[in-house]
Amino acid sequence: MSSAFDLLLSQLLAEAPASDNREARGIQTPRVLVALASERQSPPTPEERQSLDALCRKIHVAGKVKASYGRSWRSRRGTPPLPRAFWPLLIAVLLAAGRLPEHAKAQVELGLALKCLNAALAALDLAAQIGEIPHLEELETEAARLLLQSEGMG
Amino acid sequence: MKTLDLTVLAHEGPQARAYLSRMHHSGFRPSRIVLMVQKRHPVTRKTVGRWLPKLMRIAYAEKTQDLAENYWPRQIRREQPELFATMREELSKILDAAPRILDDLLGAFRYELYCDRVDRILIDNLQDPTIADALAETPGAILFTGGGLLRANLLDLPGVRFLHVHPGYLPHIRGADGLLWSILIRHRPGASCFYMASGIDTGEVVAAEDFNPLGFDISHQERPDDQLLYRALLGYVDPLLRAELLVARVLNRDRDLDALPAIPQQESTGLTFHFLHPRLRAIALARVFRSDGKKPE
Repeated sequence: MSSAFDLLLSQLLAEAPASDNREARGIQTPRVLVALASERQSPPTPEERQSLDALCRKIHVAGKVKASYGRSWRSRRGTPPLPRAFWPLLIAVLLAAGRLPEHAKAQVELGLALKCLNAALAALDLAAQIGEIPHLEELETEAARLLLQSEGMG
Repeated sequence: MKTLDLTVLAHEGPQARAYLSRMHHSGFRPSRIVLMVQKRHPVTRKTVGRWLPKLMRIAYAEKTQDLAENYWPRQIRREQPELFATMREELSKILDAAPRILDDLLGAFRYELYCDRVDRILIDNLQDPTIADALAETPGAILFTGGGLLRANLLDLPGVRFLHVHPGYLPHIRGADGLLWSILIRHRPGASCFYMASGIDTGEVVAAEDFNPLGFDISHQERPDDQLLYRALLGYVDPLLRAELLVARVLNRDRDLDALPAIPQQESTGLTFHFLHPRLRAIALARVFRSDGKKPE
């Protein structure tokens, strides 16, 4: 486990802007990210897995992440994008989920880790297009470390 | 030669050719081929042969599609003969008739050699109503060979069941890049044949199999870039593995192909994957195209 990355994740969690609309309906992406970063069960709970699946899908299929979604992560017209301030946390959450389980009980755990790493790499590319995103270098370092770890699996 | 009660919905390209060739070399032929000829060029999307009389237009569009969809497999054989020879030799060790299928796949393919009834239809895309009209003539089992996502206009046709072969062991590996995700996670390729449903790779499974680990030793060659190696996998390996499962595990059964025993999938058991990022794809490709002389385990 990379302690530098864990420190970064804690820092990002602490820096995450407070949600200013607690009454908002639907799935609030920042709240999901904060929950995923705070809990970090291993293996992920079914709810965490559903959220991670949805984030991966939004990154790969839609090529963007919105600030909120409707039921079952349905996209709603006119919804603004995820604020730039949450992008480091988004990438960090995917990288944290992308850490290879030491003793994977089932291939699905390994598969989910690699799926999240895949999405983190795509999110790093998207972040580069968005503009100045803080902590990108540290996040890239962790991505590179996980890739090396994956290489060693073969 | 045994004629199966099966319609092949053919999208021109390596996959349709591999299925038909593998069937042929095992003594099977479908009862009908419906060959979807695209009105637009597959790459430029410009309308093809708009002003030609219908029959000439179909022939011209078919040729255009052949050249476009089979471009990379032919190009790789021409420009990377060593790579092609290595892959052909290794595939011949694990798959029946692989060299002959590759020859058929890359040559001048005549659909009439593989079936007594070949119907060519000119279409815009998979939502074109011409397809449904054509398939309604011969309901029953339809083999889907690609060309996009099937939607309700075809999936809901009465009396029709679409068979599809996915390059991953279901339900564990669903979605895109199944071959490479299988190699990353399961360390070997796999394939599954299922009756198509509305979700991606979610239908009832007729057969699923893991193949032996795959490896091509290219240490004696200059290693081509990952994009070319990826195209080689998609052009040669993926189609042959799917065809192998189809013929050896599905068509060989002496049963109605639209009523085969099939097991519903438990979606929570597996994952739906997306296209591999180039950096993770490089790791998967390095496991298949080995430059260190080691054999896969």
